[in-house]
Amino acid sequence: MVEVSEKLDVKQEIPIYDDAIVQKFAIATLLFAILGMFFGVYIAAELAFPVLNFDLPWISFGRLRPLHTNAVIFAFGGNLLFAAVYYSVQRTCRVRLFSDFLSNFTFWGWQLVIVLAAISLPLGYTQGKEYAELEWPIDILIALVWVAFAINFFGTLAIRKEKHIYVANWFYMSLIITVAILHIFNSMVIPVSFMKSYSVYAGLQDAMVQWWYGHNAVGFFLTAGFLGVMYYFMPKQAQRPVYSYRLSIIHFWALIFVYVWAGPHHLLYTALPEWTQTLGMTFSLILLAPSWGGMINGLFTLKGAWDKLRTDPIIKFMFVAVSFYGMSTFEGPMMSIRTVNSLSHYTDWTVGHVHSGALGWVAMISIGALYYMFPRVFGKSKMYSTNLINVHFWMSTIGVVLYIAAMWISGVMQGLMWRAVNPDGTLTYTFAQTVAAMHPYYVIRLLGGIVYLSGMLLMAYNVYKTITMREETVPVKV
Amino acid sequence: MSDNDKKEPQTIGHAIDGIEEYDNPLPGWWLLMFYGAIIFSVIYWFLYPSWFGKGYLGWSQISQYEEEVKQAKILYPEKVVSINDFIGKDEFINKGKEIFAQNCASCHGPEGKGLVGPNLTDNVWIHGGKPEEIFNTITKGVTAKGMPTWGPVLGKEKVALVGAFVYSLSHDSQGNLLPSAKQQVVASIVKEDKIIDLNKVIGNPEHIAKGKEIFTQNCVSCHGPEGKGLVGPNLTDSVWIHGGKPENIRDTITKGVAAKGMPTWGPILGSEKIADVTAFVYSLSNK
Repeated sequence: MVEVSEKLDVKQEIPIYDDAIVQKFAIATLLFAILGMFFGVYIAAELAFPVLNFDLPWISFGRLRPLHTNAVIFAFGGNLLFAAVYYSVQRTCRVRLFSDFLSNFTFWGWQLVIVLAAISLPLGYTQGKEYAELEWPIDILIALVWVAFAINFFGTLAIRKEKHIYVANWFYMSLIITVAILHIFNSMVIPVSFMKSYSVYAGLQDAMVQWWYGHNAVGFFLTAGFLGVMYYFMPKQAQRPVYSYRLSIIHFWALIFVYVWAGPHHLLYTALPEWTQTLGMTFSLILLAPSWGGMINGLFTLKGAWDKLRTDPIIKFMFVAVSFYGMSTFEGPMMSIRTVNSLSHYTDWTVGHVHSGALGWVAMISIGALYYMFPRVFGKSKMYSTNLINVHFWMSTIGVVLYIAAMWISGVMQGLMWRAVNPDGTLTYTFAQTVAAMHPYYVIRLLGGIVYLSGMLLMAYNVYKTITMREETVPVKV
Repeated sequence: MSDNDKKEPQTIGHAIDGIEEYDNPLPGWWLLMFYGAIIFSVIYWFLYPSWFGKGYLGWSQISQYEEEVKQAKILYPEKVVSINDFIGKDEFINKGKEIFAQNCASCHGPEGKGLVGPNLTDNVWIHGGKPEEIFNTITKGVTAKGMPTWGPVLGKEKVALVGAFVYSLSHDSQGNLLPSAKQQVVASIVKEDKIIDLNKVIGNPEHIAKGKEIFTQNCVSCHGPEGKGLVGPNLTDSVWIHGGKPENIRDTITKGVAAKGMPTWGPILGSEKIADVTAFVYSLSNK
């Protein structure tokens, strides 16, 4: 702290941060969180009660599922990353964003991508690659927006007034660079018409590239990006120093080096060469420690401020988020072990694993960061209601626990039923019997989703009241 | 350094936007986990197929599969069964019925009366009607006509069970032909006395319409709803494997082509109906 005040003495002027762009991205984040999760709840309901697709192709599971995943990852997650990156990079560099034009270009460009996705996916336009369904014209737009984001971010770093580049910004850098490479190489296609294209890679290579992309979309978009968010917002909210600078360096480099090798664990026991499968499995195991480095740094940052876990619901959100991060980054390497994978693969276990990461880690750290940012960028001293944040916290926690517990049971049961044999060696269950057995867990999962979504609606109300409330003493906007 | 660990740890001496950073050492258990995973992986690379080679253990997906099949063969030895042990016994026939419902009903109909596959409730046997013959037909299938090779799918025991069920559709527990199966044959033999003048039938719209109806009931499963051919040949073109004159067509239908699965329709339909079908089939290519 001493050094900061010294520096501030030298540079008296306080930069005027661009918080208007953060406002826009934060509102968009909240909006798309609700929409994306609503689609999730709806398709969960379709799985439990198939009649809900009403025989309409546009709202059938096959089309709404990519809409859900794209909406929560890229619309909710993406907008949150833009909001959090733009908020924190300005403050950790002590300069306004590099270019107001680029800031606005990234905002409107990204929203256009989302709108195009929302139209084209239900109509059935798809490249057929998980998390990369959008057709080539939209892919080009994504690439343009992402390059604009890169210029804006690295430009801001280049003109920074802070000597050190804060750890959160390292993670943002790896996010921006790697996602650009992943997106561009996985989206290499030969267009045959305006909304139809074929991958330049054939068969197995296509699968390999797809899961190199798919796994690192998780690794760099949903892990590295959100670790950056955690590294800024958690110490800020806790008002405690980061636990270990040394650990942050080691686990950062280890994480980004090891993550890119792990993709083949999505293709165990397939036509992928065995040596490549082995590589994917072992690098996934090595990845456990680098992943947990982030968890340690997050949890131990609360050292000396454990009391805040009782009093501050925003810290609760962040604490539980980091805990889920630790749990799902343990579960992931375990599921990549060949023998475990032969049971878990193609079952609901995978779905449960993804959601413990998505709802537990990504969404909860995002919610924490949003509750931190909203009052600050809208010039308020605090959120309208701390109690409502607390209620929201419990709804999120109960929702995610219901969800993943249901999927664990359903997934393991499914895997066991598929391989069960009669005394004479014939299969015990037909496929339809395994589907029927999953029904109760699908209903529980739906319930979990509804509770989680309701929490987001509560948040929307709290944010609305915060933005519109009048405060007697308006704090100086920094 | 160790003193510092006990006390308030040192920060690295700068704060960014008010965030300070301690310089705590890497936790020992964490390092252990990290190095442990790396060592495990290197050992694993030597043992299993990896960028080091094929692996010391000689494991591969294929070898694992073959090993599991070997184990399964020991665990679940194929029973030596004879279909004759099951024939006429209700407990086995009921088991066979279940297997039939799951595997055979889609082609032979839920009651075995035939859909795409032939009727199994009469006494007309394209590939032989003795229990052993039925067993063989199910085991080997009739690939040319779309009947799958069930032997490796179901195993000998289930094939024998389903064979016993099929046999029971036309035979009672003593092995006598059921009246229902007999009737279908007898009924047609009764009509056998009539001699039909084909010239009066060919080109006659009334007979063609009748023939079409009979065709729909008996022939479409192999020759297609419009006679354009499925398992059986196309009847709408000018290619006639067994002759295209009216009498050739009649004779082919009457006698069938056993080698290729065309049933002997004579005793089933009788000459009157066969004449009508002949008129219909002839009309398909002579309009």
